[in-house]
Amino acid sequence: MKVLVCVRSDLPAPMARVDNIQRLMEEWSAEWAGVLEPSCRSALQLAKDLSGPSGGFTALSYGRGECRAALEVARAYGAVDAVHLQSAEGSLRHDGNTIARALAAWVGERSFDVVVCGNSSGVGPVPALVAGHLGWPVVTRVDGFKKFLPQDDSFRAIELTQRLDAGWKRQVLARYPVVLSVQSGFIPPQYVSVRRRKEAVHGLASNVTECELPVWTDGHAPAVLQALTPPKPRTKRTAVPDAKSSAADRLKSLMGPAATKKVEKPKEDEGPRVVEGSAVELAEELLRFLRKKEFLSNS
Amino acid sequence: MALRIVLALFTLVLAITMLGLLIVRMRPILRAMASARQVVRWDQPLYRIRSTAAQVFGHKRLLRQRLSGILHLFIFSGFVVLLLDIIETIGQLVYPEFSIGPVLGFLVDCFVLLVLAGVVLALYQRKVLHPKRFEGSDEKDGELILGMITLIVVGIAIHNSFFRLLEHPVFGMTTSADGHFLSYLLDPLWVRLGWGTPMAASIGYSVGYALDIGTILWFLAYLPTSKHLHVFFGAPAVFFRKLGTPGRFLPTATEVHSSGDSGISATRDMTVQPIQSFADMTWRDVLDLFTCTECGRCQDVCPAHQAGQPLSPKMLILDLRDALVQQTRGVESSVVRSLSLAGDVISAETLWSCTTCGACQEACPVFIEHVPKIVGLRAALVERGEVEERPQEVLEHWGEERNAYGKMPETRPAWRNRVTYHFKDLRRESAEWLWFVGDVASFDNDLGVARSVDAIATLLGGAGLDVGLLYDWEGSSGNDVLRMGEYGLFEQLATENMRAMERAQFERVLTSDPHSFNALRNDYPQLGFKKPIYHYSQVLQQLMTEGKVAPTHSLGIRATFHDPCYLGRWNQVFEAPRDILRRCGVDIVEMPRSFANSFCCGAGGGRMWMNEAGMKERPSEARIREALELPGVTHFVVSCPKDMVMYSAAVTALGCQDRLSVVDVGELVLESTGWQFARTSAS
Ligand code: SF4
Ligand code: SF4
Repeated sequence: MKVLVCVRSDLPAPMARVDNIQRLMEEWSAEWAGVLEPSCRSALQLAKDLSGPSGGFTALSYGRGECRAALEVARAYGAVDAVHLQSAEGSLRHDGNTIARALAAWVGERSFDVVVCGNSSGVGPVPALVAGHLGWPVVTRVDGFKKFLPQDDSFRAIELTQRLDAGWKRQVLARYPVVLSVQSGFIPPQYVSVRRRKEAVHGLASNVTECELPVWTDGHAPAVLQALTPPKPRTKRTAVPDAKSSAADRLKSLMGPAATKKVEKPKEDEGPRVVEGSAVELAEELLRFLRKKEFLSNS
Repeated sequence: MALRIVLALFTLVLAITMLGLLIVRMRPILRAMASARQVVRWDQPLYRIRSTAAQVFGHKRLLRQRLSGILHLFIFSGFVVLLLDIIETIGQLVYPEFSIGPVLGFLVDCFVLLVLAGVVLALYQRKVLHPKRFEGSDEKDGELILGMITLIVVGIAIHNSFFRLLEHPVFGMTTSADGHFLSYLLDPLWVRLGWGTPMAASIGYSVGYALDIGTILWFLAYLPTSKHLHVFFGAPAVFFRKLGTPGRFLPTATEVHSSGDSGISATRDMTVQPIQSFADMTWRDVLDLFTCTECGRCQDVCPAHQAGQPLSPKMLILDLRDALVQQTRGVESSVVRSLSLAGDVISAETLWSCTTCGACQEACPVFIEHVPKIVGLRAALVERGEVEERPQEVLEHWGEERNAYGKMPETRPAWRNRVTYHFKDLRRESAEWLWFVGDVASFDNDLGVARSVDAIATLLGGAGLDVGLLYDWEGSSGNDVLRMGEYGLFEQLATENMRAMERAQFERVLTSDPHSFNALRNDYPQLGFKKPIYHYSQVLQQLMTEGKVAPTHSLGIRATFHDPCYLGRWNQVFEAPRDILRRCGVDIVEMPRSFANSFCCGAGGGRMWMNEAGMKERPSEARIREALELPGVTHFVVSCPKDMVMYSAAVTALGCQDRLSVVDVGELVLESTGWQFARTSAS
């Protein structure tokens, strides 16, 4: 089975500040050492699992300097070929359809059975658009594959597990060729040691295939970035981890977004309450509440 | 004459057969050692000889467990004296009048009795006491060996006694006093039984001779298939052990640099090998596998084993040995070949259970080095990417943010704005001391850790010590990273820290974290770091000696002190924290497991960041129970931020906060000085 995985780089967490992200939208800075975008790690793991221990897969990244980090990790995961798609216009970051068309054009000229894409939000359009441009089926939110079915030229397919909302899962049968997308954390990725990463960097120096992307001239201009607004600061949720929990659990909670300030308990009379009673009693309780909140006058 | 010729022929044939078998059985083992990776252990030869003699002849470590030490000493000394018996017995075959003399003869018989006493004690231990540490050991092998030893010494007594009855009638000698006092007791018995005739005595002598010499030769041929190979390998294992501070993990230049033509290049020096197969082990590792006596002392002290996790250091060694034996015997099937050591022969859960506390190594009478093997096998898992989700996340944080907590490096240490004492910024100015804070003390929000950091900061500030911090230039020391088997990441972290320390101007380093202390003191020097390193307890001890920190009142409390593995066992710092506690008027009551035998809190070797699935009782809780047994002890004193985290949680989990307070050494010193915490009002 010939597997292609599309990977992207991201800013390392300590550098993910508003100014850097704004700059990133303009252009990747040469001084940044990127990291693999988390959902792409799951994509790499899926590609590796699909290829099996003896098979290799191809990793593809697009954009400018940022592709480097992603391709390094992909090599460390076992990608035998690394491809860098360059865009002359630098427009590949902002317009999902342009990206998808470019990828589809490149993939269409080759004979891959499966294209795996990371999809951090799970609803990103690129994998579906790639599939659409290629005329292939797409399976999103993949969290594993059950088994390969007996392969012959007339029927080549794979049984995949898809994770749905609220804990539902379903199995789908996908015939090749197919586009798969995977969210971060869906397929536990293997750890890539620094040593493997270093070896991959050495290997990568001479082993990236550079491809120029076709420029689209069908009359519709791609979307262009105009401005970027950072998210509004939210009040931090704060909690102190339970002292009875294990050290590992405590650490987990420390590493989460929770900070170290004391939890502010809601004032007793403001907290949510469940009131039971007859219709009259409930109406009275409702009136009391509305008066207290000054939606109704006390008269 | 005919009797001597028959016995000589018997000896010759048996010796050729058994020694041939011995060679055939030893060859693959020696070949495995020869083809393993090289490591040079010839430094300090005189010290090595002296300490080997103390361990082998003085049974220094073995005697830590009284009964088994004494019984082993009895049996061992009998073996040494056995040589005299062999000389005399074989000598008498050639020349009947040959004797080792009355004194040595007397000695031989004394040791015959001592060995028999040793065998009885050993059987009592195995059959009656049946200590848990023998679980998993090959007890049949042990009993067979005890049987052989009994046969040998009984044979000595028998042939010596019958020899006296043959002296005159068969060998034509005049009776001589040879010192074998047991013969004087046995001879009348034989005569009374009617076995005093030359024919019966000849048979009796032959039986005794066969039991003695025959069993010795059988024993020799049997050894390579038995755990008693330590008879050959025990002394070399002690002699070629790692010297210097036990906490060093990376090999020294001397260890890896051979002057000969063994093919070891200096450029390979500092690379530590993941153990994917036996070829990745050093010859010392292979020697260890065949030296294990299956005594189970290591298993007995292992916190992971006691916590009900799948790790037993003894079984780990034995499983590796059995796998290697499969290979060396040439029964290596394709299944065996396809098995990987890490994951198949030794399961990943077993390997990740280790806290790298080193208690096993400390207990092992033949100085087997478990931790390097465990770490090497872990490294193989790491290289294959087989790391659990949670530790993987932490490894990635170390790689990206240079701390285990995934916090922004710029916020390091998280308490920098809390204490009022102004620590110099070593990124811009120079200071005499660098306080290398470490991850846990920098970022953990455990209240105890915060208290101890405040106390140490106040004491250092109050004493007027010229101290600076590296702030965001500091990264994790990598001590846990190295012991999790992520060598590449350790090198990366160490290199960045060393680069930062080279740029900063300071004279010496103090650290409040024993894990950082260990890495900076033992492993960084192998990469070229040269500054002196101190644990803060050593610094406080010095400040108290100089009168810069002066307790004004005695605390008058009863406390027990927990030796952190990476301060005590791995770095031999036992006295400094105890000394300062005593100076503060603390009455120290030692726990049964203290000093080098201290019991791990369960956080080391990366365990702090791993799952506790399958754990029956956390080591930290077992330790708190141990402290609760001590009469009148109200304080559990720690000197490591990880200990603070683990034991605070354990005390809360056990619900004994009112009976036992977990406090840091620094807190008690501060309390005895009467100084106030140097906190900002904002804190
Ligand atoms: S180092 Fe500690 S936890 Fe690891 S095997 Fe030895 S005794 Fe057990
Ligand atoms: S490794 Fe050492 S302590 Fe453990 S069973 Fe073997 S000889 Fe005994």
